[in-house]
Amino acid sequence: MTASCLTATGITFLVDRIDNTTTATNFWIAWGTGGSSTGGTATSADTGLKAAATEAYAVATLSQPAVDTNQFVATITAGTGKTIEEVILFGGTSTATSVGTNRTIIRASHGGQTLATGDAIQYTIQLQTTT
Amino acid sequence: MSWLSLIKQWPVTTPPDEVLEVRPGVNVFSGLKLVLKVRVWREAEQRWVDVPDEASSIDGARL
Repeated sequence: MTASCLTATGITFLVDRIDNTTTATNFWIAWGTGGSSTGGTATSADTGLKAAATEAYAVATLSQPAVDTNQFVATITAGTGKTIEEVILFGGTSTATSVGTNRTIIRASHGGQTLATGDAIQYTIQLQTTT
Repeated sequence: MSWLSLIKQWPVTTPPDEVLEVRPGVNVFSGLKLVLKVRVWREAEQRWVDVPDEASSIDGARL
């Protein structure tokens, strides 16, 4: 089922970022194939992908398109044919391109996208703070 | 204990502190919204295909 969640680790990340407990500026986007499997729907308890695909994680470009919005954009290209159903945004102080000691901030399970080799998905994830 | 005495006790036994403890948390997080935009590049067609945006509250509820 489709869902997008700010995770529990994402909430602590935001709190830590505001008071400089963490000064992380590294963000990545990763995709996977486990969005529709049992337990695949995104929840706030998620700490990573349900089923990571083989493609490398992509560096997310961070911007602020509006004063109340943080935006993360990255594109990942399929190395082989597959159906992509989930995405995470993770970040932290580690420069390693894996969740590892970094933290999963947002996870979304989305409608399956059947990709052929060379197809790609450009993800744009926006976190908006409204009144 | 009579019905009348139960009715008289009801407002007194309702724990107002519990209600007040829940509401601030809900209000704080109700102002955050996630939007997921997906664009798919079709290599064979050499073009981008937009998928409808998915907007959610932070706990995954669709907006």
